Amino acid sequence: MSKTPDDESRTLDAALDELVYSFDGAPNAAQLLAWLRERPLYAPYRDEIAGYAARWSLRAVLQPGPASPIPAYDPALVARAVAAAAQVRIETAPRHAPLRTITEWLREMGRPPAEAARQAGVSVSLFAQLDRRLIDAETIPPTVVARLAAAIERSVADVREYLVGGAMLPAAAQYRAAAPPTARTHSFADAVRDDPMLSAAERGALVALIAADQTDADGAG
Amino acid sequence: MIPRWRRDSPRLLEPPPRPLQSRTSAGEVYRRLPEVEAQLDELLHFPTHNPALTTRIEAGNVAPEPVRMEACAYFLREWHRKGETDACAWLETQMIGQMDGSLRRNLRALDDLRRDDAYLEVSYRVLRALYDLDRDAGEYYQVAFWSGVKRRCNDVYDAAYAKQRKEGRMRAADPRDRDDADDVPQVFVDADADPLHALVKDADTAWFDAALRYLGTKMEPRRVQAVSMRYRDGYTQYSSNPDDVTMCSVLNVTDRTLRNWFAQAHTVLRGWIEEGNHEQDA
Repeated sequence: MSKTPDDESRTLDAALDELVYSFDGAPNAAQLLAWLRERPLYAPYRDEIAGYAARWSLRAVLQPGPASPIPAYDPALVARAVAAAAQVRIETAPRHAPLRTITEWLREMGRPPAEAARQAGVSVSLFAQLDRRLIDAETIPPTVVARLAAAIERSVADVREYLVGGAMLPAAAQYRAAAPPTARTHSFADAVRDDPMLSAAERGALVALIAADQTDADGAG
Repeated sequence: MIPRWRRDSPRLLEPPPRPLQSRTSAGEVYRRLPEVEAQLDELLHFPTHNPALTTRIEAGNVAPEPVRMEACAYFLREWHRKGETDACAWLETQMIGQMDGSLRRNLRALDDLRRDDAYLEVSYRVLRALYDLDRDAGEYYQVAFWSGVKRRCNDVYDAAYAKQRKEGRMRAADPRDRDDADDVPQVFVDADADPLHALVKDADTAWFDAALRYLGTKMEPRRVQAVSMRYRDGYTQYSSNPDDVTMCSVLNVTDRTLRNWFAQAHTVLRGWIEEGNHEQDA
């Protein structure tokens, strides 16, 4: 069976890992060629490996010396890295069954919706509207979807799939008509504007998110 | 606040450690260091929330017996496999905290914006490999964690540095805003003689490194790379044997192009020497 591009990429990746593991500092040409001779498996990638070793060697010269200042610890940057790691964890977790409702999923995990709402950066009222799909999915900023996914520990794809479903009436709703009424949906911007539970600062932050995501969408378009 | 997973009822992990699957180029299965194996033997018997495990990991390098990052890499993968979400969330935070200093040190030559992006990219790549249970790439971190981090720093740094330099040139509205533009005019040479060789042949390492740093401020990175490969690392320029590793094959350029680049480097370094800056820079 012939090798796929993915196989080749894995072999080169493994070769570069082994190269960095084999030398404390960048090898020169003679050291690298000796290393390659002992590893015929990597012969098809010898130019890529030599290029990597050469860049490594030059980088050691061009980078600032050990005495040069190191940037200060930045807790916000660490927090962003942690948030990205959480998303990776969620994306790589074994697939769950589709969400029936967000609150039902949280109940299974033993978590109060208010806590998830706070983590997602929305009010309890907005959270409930998202749960009942009363907000047009297309108008929800991707950042809010991503935060919601992280808050309830599901993948973004799972949450997106859930949010595009039909709007739901409250489970305890009673009605007199023969046919059940249809729940009305509105835009995320309207929901933020009309939400009495949001403080001015929270509303401002969400409005800024809507604007930023709109700018991104315009730019992509 | 005590993480919620610590309040859960204890669940013992099953010893012995899961064997590694990935292999070296010699076909041998990678092996963890003996001290990592010893730590796994010791710590796998504890439930995820046991202080014998968590306090040592939280203390990092200042713990009397620090838990090696290779062992943490094992735990993260195993807990992820078992769906220990809260334990993973705690451990990934600890691991990023322990990588923080290394990332700031290795990426410090980048400007503020690009350094932050690079920092996030490296931590993402490491965590991605650790969490991706469908691939063996994450196993490497159980063998040589810091070597793996260094490799990702190198990869990300190279790409970010090239972009930083290119965008700096664009912002300066330099008319020579092509990828291969330099701050010196093109000099075409036909002669086989290499004037750069005569200039640097007797140079000591400190002087030549200073010369490379100066070239780095004046010439496109790939051309500085060529000078470094030829005169610092000792690569052969060209060979008629296609199986040889040469500068032409690595950089994918002709021998003539290399000679042009060396002529340009020679011009730049002559100016550096004539200005007298080479003595203080070196």
